[in-house]
Amino acid sequence: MGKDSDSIKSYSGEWTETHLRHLLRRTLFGVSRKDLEFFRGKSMDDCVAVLLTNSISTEPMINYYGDPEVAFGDPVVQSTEGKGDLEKLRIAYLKAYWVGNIINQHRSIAEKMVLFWHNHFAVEFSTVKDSRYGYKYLNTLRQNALGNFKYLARQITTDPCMLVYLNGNLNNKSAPNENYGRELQELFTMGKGPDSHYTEEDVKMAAKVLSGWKDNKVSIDSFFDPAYHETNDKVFSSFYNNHVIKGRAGIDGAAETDELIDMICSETESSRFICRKLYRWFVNSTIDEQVEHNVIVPLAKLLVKSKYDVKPVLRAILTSDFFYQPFLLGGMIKGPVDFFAGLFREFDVEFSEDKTKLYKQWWRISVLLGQLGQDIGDPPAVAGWPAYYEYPLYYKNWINSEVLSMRDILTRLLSFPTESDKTLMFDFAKFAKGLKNPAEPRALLSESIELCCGIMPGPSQINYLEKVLSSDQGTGPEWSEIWSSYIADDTSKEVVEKVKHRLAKVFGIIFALPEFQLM
Amino acid sequence: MMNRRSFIKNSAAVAPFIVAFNPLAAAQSKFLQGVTSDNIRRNKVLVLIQLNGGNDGLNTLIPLDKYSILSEARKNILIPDNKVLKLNDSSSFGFHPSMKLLQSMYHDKLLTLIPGVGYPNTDFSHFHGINIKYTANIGEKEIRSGWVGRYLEHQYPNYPNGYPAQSTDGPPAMRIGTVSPKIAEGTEQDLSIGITNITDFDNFYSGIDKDPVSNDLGGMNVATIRAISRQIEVYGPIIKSFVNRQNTLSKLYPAPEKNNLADQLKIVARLIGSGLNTPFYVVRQLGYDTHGEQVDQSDTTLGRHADLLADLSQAIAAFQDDLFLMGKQDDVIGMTFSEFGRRIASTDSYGTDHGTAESVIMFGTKVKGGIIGSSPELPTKATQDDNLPIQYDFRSLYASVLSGWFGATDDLIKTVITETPDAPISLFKS
Repeated sequence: MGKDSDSIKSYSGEWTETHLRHLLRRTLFGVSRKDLEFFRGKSMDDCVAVLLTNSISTEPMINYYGDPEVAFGDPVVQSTEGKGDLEKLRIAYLKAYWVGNIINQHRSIAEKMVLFWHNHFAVEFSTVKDSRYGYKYLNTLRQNALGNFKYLARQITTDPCMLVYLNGNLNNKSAPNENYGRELQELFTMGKGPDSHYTEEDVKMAAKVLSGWKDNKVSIDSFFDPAYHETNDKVFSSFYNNHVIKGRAGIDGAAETDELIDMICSETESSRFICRKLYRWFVNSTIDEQVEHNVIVPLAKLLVKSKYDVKPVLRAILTSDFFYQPFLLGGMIKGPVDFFAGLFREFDVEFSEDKTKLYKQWWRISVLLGQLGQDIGDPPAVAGWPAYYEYPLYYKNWINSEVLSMRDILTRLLSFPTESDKTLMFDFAKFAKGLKNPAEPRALLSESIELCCGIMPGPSQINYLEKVLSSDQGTGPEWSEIWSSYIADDTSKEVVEKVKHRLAKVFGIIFALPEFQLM
Repeated sequence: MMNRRSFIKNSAAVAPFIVAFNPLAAAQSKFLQGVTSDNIRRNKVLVLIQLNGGNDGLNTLIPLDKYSILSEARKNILIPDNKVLKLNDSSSFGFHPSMKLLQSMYHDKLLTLIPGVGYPNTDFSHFHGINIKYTANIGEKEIRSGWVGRYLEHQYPNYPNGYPAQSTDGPPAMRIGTVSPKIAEGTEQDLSIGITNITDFDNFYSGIDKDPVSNDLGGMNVATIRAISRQIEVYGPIIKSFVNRQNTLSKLYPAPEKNNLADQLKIVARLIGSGLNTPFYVVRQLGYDTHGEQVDQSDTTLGRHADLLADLSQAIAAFQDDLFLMGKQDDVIGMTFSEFGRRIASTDSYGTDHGTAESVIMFGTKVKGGIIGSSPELPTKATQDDNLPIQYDFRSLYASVLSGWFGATDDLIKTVITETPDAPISLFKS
């Protein structure tokens, strides 16, 4: 048994571009060249300070998708509930809007934290079936992305989307519905870690505390209805020090919910639970005794000290010695959002200027994400994605035979679009132009691979790539010739096609490599 | 729940793919080498259907002899007496009205129903619940392998090396749709391939894997992905060519994308019909977590649960019909499983909370037919705290399937399923 540490050791080694790319990959979605240029030359502390600024788009979701109830170009926030399939359409475009925010993310960890909170306080839009609730929920996550955990947990507990999703709105004093009372403790605040010993009785008591919250489709909000609230005292188990939440009649009953969240979060185990989730999200899936004592315990102390503000914990993680261990590089398998949003950002894929087309492009990406296993807004269950909780596979859950081949098919589709499908594609020629030495195959490959692969592929793979790029394995013209004629005249359609075709072939291979799947 | 022991296991499993780092796996695999697989019964297939979310067995197979208790406990979701589908050989039970197709399969002796399947001290968490069913282990939550995987690694020693051994060999297990690979994880290796549709593996590029991998997390991930790539390269073309040899024959299937489970089973039927030798298929139907709005408020025979059971019945009936038309009916059985059943008493919100025992449905020409077990003992006034009693431990059921269907020996079963509290259950026609 190790001894609990009081503090986290900061990283004090050399700060290289490898370290910077690791930091950016884990906190943003992929590494764009512009980001790399921006951060190059800054110290670790300065980079982390920039990433921890709460910079997030506040542009609302706009009707560019043919919503019959909202004027074209207007925000959709206060719309009335859609009839027929309208809510389905809106939910589809809410996801599209979310994709847009991710792709256009600022130089901040905020978008990644939004996804973290979504994975943590998971809801399924398609179950809730009301896009307005989904939008409100998403905005709550966005506004609190770098905020206070306790405050967010309290907001989410009575968020209308969550009330519907986990049946909190149906939880009445006469027949309590335990769903939320259970998941609040098991998944949202306490977990089932080594020192979590809440009981089935605590689940029932929590359900009683939470009885009376209802949603309102007109105001798109929640409210507390004392008529449905259980007013008896709620007695919790010894795990919660036999705490009694005094039953309150009338509108005061709502305050019992605040007391419940306070009670749960005052347990040390709760702070450790949140820190383990952050660790698995940003660092590594394995939490052994050493990590528990040296990392989780001190992080949890920091969280308690900051009264559950997450920023100090994030700063401690991202400037820590453990975060930059060489052993961890490439230790995560990219989830579909990291995979796809990363691709679009790394290769500067241009999106349409036309807003209707733009929303459609984002929508397409959200569908692809779903096919690859990360349907944002619709995780598979209330526990979020198995990649972050399912022992022992964890991130390996993102890859299996069907998904791996689908990733391959989709990237090839974007590299060689068919006639009917040209709405989104990579412009590898333009990308190559921005590299330091694109005429030289080895240099082109190194710079590109460093940007998008979690670790470098081995020498035989690089040699093979070089052969393909140099001469299509001896079957085509030399790359240096193609490239120089392209630089001399980039208006010749024939030349442009040659360049693009060769590069698409090379990048098609890179995107299929195991190393590309890592971050 | 994590404890000291699982912490230690956790750290041992940092390198699950490198046996030398994992003393537990190394010890077990050594042991496995001593087991021969002489007793494989070739060409027997088990199709597992996961009912995701926890199916309400009491509204699936309704104990009519307890109707007055049910009408107290679950008044708002109760199926009217006269709407329950009756069985020709039992007055104790009847089917949900959505299950006409399964009712007729039952009358044709193609269906076995086992109410009251579970285990002591049910874990009401979805995630632990399903993990327990996948692993057939109730003691330790963080066990790596699934029961199907542990069985298959005996039948396919040293997998994936040396396979396919015959030209008709498919992967040991296939998952259609989005079933977790956990159920087919062996102690070291996933023994399944998952597909979503039959064009999945077209033109797959797997990279050059000559270079050694580094001894860190990145290197281990590369090794994992390379292993999956190799499986795709080996089995992708086989699956594709076999599925193309056999068309769907049954007319009972709904149009594509109307019934997701039926779409999945259609692929399974084609693969079985083509002569592919894969003993396990796992498919999944989503949506059974019916805390609220399980039924329509105005008509309890309609609503979410009714739709789910209608899809389930249609999918199974069409699949069985397909097997008959392909002449494969005697080679295949099916079995449902769910993380748990639901509570006796309903919620105010026309639904049911997580409960204990599930009602297992088995089908095929070789299952015995009829009901195994008795109508559940219910308290006269069931409250939210009351749960269904367990009649059969699911581990004993799985063990009985392995012995009765695949002919697994007792010794083999002991290594696959460590605890079998009940005596073997007689499930098959002799």
